[in-house]
Amino acid sequence: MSAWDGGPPKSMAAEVAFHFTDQQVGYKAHFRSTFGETIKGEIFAVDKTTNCVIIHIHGTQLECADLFLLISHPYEKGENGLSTIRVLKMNFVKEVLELERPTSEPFVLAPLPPVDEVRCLQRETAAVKAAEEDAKKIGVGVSEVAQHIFDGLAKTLPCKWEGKSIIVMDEVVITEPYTPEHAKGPNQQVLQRVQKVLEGERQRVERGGATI
Amino acid sequence: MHDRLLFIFQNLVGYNVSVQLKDGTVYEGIFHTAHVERQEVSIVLQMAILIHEGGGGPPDPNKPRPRLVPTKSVVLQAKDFVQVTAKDVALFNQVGGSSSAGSDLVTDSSLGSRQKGAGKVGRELVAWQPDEDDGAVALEDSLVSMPPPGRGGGGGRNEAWDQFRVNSESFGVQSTFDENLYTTRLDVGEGGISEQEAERIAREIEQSSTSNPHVAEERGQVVGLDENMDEEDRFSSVVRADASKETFDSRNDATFGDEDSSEAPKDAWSSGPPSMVSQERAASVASGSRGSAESQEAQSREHVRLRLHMGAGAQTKGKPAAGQPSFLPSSKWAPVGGVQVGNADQLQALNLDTARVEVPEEVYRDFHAFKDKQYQESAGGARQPARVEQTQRMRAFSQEMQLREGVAASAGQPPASGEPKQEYDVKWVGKTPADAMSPTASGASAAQKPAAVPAPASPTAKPPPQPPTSAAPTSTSEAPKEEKKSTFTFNINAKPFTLNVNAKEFTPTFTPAAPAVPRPAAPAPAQPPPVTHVPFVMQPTMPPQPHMYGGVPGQPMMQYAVAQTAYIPGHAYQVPGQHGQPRPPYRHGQQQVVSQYPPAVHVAQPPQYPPGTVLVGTPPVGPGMHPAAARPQAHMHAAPPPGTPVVMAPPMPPPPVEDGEQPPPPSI
Repeated sequence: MSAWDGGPPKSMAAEVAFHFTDQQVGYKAHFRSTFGETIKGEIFAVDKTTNCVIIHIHGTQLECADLFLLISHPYEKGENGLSTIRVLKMNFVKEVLELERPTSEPFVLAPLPPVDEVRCLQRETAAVKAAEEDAKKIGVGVSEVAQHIFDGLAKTLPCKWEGKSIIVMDEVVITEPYTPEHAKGPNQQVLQRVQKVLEGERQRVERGGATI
Repeated sequence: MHDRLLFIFQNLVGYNVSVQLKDGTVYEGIFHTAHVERQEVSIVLQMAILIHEGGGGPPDPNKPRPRLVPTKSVVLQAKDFVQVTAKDVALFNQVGGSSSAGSDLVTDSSLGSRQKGAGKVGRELVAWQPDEDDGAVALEDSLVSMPPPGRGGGGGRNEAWDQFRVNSESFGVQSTFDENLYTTRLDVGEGGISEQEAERIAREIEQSSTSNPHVAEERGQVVGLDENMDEEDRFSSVVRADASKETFDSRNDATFGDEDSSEAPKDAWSSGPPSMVSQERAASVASGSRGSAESQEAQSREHVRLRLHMGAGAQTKGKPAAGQPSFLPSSKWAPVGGVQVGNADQLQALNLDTARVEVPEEVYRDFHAFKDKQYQESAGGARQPARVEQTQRMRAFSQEMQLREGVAASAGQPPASGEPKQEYDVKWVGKTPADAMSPTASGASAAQKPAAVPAPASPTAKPPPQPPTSAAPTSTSEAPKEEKKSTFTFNINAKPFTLNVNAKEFTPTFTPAAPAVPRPAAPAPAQPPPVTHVPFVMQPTMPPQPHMYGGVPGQPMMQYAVAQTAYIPGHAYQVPGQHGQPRPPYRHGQQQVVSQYPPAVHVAQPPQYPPGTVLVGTPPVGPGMHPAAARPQAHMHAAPPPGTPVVMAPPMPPPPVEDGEQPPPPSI
């Protein structure tokens, strides 16, 4: 990494395919992608071989759904040590709006810390497990109402889908119309309890109440 | 740069990422791996779902995360891949981060929001309505109403909800609850008025309107909603009946005051002249003979009067602005409620500036005259003020010290050098009584004229200075007139004293030749004790520390070496840091042996064993030293054989190796 000897000027004219260079690691870039999305962050790395640029945005962004909300929400600087990473092919950088040199000169790249592989793998297994658990809670081919009922039940009782039926506490099976009459189970008390809860859930869903 | 890319990919394993493809399709899943090949990057996700179908426009940001069954494994081809986005990545916390298995810290929001995809943004809130259960009532309805008449023993029964009734109906439980078992029996007839009468009165009260917004709220009388009333005013804050009449201080009268205080409000209202108040105040201060309790009371009364007065002043000028909460001080322009800041008299009378003691002139003079008289009386007398005695003692002591140190080199030189020394000295010497007496000293800045000679003057012997009114800075400088010449001078080259907090308490046990006395830290001036005179005693019969040779060269050598550096045999005992010299270099991994005294390790020399010891293995490098701390051999020879108390010889220069060499950096 050579020393900084002048980078590109602050504002760039629009170019179709702007390539960041090695020199610009550490710069704060603000650019637009070909998808019309505005990205603003610190250049973490520029990889010529794969033609990728990695943008590092400090703090987490509070947005609901997904990444494209960034257009409307300014970046929140959450001070929780987390960041957002974006790996982007440089072909898809449409236009650079702003390129700002780092304030501290000379800019020395800190050596990369070692990667804790174990931790990564553990994180992955945990995430996969959680995702699988979640997956079990999603009924395939069931109506939305049914799904809502399931969600309501699942809050207090352990439930899972089996085809189109809900199995509660591994005992009670609730079949298609999901009414209390269609709940069947060996243990009377459990069954009654489940029926009661089910009834409540149905009513709530029918009333359109919040299902969080 | 490629390594940085790989670094990122390595770190992203396990995180939930969104991958976007060329056609706009967005997948979201757990990052499993990335395959990088020349220009191409392929991504493999686990448990991925399709967030957004490509081909259309940009995804709708408000669309919640769909609930789809994820695909176990999704490979996204390099040719399609455009970008990867990962949120909430703890990028640089990898090393020594939080404990394993992801994060143990699971927040409620993270638990909840995953499910429905509603996210952290607030969800639609719906007011709770009771279900149509029997007996359930809406929140507004009262569960408890007045007990029906004549049913004293019923306890808790009423028309709206009777738990016992419900219980017996639903579950057939017979209750034996009797309220009068737990409380005094209420006899309704004893009231003196009939039931109806009571009811009537109650109804009347409840129906009446009130100006108090809280009461009105409770009675269900909707108060005209004022824009200026926020929730706090509506529901929580206390409404004063009349802020102008009742400041919180007025209550003090009830607690502290006596008869005349009851007139205070009236006085306030009549806007008595402020000058009267301040005069009273001055009078109360000047006549210090009042008992403290009394004066306290008087002062508090003063305060009350003042505040009321000022409050009144404010009040007469304006009523609270419409809509303003009435309990707030109402003055429109006074920042602090009621106090007219512009009114200097009143402000002065508050006596807020406690730092500055304002004493009337004559009191001041009287006081000093009194003091002068006192000193004059005791000038030649036996009894000296304790302070003077102490100062004298200290001076004598320091003289002793100086004489012993033989700093008579510069004996007799008057400290003609510059101001700083003198000033310093003056401070050290402390305020002589003469200083205390002169008015300039008491309140003045550091304009104390330095005592011309730092010599221990005993000003008590000389008559007290002139009357305080004369600015007599020279009073103290005349002190040494009749004094014996002091031989003390400042040694400019002395090293500054810095307190070594780690220094162990030093108790001399054997002082053959060293005349020095352990000097207390406090009165010691800047001049540090010379190195030579600190006695250092070794216990005569110190068994040699067994050293392990060859086997583990590291540890014991280091141990030794530490002691070595802490107590350099044959050298003056240098308390590290105390003399401004560098501490013995802290070698990584070694413990700082500051708590070893007398040294547990045979300090004097490394292996000098009593004859007959069989040394096994190869002796370590040098004379048993840490290689890096290897001392020249000469060093060893200088030390006396073990067993003799080591008396401090004239100091040898510290081994030059000490500062220069550093041990090789430890490898982790």
